[in-house]
Amino acid sequence: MTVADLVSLARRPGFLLFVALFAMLLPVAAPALADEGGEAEETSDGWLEGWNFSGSESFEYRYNDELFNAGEEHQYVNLLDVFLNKGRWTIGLTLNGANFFPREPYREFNDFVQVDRAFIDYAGDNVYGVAGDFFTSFERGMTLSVLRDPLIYRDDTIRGARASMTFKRFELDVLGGFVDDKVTDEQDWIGGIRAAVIMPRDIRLGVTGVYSDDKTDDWIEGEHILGSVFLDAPGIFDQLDFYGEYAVKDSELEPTGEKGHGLYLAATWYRGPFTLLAEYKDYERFNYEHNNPPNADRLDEFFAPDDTRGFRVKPSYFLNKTNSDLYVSYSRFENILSDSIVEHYFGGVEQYDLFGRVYMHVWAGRRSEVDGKDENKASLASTIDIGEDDSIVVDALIKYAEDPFFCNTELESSIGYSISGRWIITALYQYAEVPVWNKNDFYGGEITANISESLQAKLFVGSLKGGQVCSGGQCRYEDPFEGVKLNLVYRF
Amino acid sequence: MLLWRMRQSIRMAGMAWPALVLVLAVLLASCSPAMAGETRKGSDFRLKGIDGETYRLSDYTGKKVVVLSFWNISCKPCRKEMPKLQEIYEALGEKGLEILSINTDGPSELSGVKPLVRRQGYDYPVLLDREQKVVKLYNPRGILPYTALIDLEGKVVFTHLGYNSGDEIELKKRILELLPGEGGEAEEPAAVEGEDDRG
Repeated sequence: MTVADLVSLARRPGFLLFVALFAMLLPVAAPALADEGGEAEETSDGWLEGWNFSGSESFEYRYNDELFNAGEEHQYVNLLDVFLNKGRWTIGLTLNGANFFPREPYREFNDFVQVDRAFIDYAGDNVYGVAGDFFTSFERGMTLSVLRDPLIYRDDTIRGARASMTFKRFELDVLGGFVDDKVTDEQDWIGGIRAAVIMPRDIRLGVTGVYSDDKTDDWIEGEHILGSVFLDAPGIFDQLDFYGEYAVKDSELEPTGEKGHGLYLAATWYRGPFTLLAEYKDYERFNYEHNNPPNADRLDEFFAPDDTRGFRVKPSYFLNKTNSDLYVSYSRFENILSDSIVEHYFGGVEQYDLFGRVYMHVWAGRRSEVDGKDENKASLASTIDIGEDDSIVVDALIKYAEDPFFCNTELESSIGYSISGRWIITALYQYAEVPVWNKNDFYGGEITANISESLQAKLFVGSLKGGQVCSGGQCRYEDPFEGVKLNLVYRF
Repeated sequence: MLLWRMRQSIRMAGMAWPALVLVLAVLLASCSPAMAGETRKGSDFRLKGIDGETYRLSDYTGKKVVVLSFWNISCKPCRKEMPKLQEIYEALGEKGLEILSINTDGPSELSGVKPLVRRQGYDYPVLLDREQKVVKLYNPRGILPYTALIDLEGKVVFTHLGYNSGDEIELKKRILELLPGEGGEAEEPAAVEGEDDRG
């Protein structure tokens, strides 16, 4: 067999799947092999002496049909994470590779492998340092937030260096590098500093400053300078937490400049099983690529942090007698530029151990805007224990949206049966009155199997309209999809 | 800059890259203790808790069996798991078990974490991994919930992805196997320095 034959073989779709299955199953058999084969290899030997080695290998095969693609497609996606840890030092590497079949000339890459993340860090008692790729944020994300957040389609890291130090009652954070946006492939230079004084009762008073040069950005070119002052005061009289931050933004956008500001205040009052959360935000011309200020509302209600002002209150009470967590929330925001007002209220009950075997979380809410746009939502998540280790899991979310010109009903639902530690079988149904990719109904079936403690396999057949999917005892974000998906995750 | 440019330079057509990465994964996995039927040491970390204290995993080595439980607010299975962990903590907390509940919500959602924990009365320490440093070390894909059990020697002896009813039974069984005087083979642990301060 020649090298050309090997390359040809490796390019066949079935070969990759075979290699993946082999790679995943080999470690499962390894302990048994080790027992029969004599003494196990010690990692303390040789050049790895003293280093702790761990990682994760995730392989996904997708067969996408014509619905979401120009044609039928086989995709092989591989993510390998490797970590070496010794004492306070950690070295990490993430490799991301993919193949697409059939090979299409219009596609930028039919095959690729890239280093998604590489870093070395040191975590001492009063010093932390990292070089390479790292996630970061300052305080509540008002001036800097470079994190993976599937809710807002962000998957960024900073490639550079960061040092954090604590000297008695003083904290200092300094970082620099460029933001590596995995979604848009943009790379913006960024530098930041955070300094805080720790006062009695763990109260922190500090400032942050960020500089970013977006010259590699195609649609907002220019420099941004942001600064903020914050006060973090937890546990006041053991009953009240307070956080406040005021930030200003000065952008040198072409052809004109832009100045903006952001104010965020949060207070939580605790009294036994009762909590009251109150938040206020005032963001004007505060939109910027590398911040993510609190939206002060439900996590799934994303509002652009620009030109909006308003408050939210959320009282909650936990009834110990019945194991019931009750909550309501009311928020009201106005758009500073358009004068439109958004009101959002919702309430729910999270019920534990109903009749000793039922968990249930039910909530419903309404979001309305003065110009006639309304959205109503209701959700039910329940688990009914049948025996000691098997249960039925039900999940449903229904949304009804309407405005003078548009109505849409959406449903996301699933029902599953699980046997703890072994496997879970789930049926999914999703509906969208307004078609998503020319489709209204989405059906799917999924089997999750724990082949060993370290290896989990998941097979999905059907279609998904995208968004957060909770099945198999896990929650994750999925893109619109139709076809077959086989996912293998091995942790070593 | 060489590393930064590697991403562009190694994008090459015509290669079965996933297969090569898989081969690399197998080679690396073969070096790992798990492959040899052993357990690996839990990577050390330092995180701040919602109580203002700083927690370091290595402080518990030789002193307590530790459960690391990763979660976030919007993860429904995580919310189901938390009271079960509380039950385990109440039963075994004084017998040498520590549960470090690690919240992975980003800074924007931070206001909701402490009210939930305090209202529902979870006594175990809740740590904030808002920059996703620790969850990436233990569970790089970030699928939640995720549980890791660490023995007195600091080795990861059990991991579990997801939560379904009954999973806590297996977890408790594994913990009992590790606790001295509860069927475990470990020696009596020493006290953790400053544990009284940790509430």
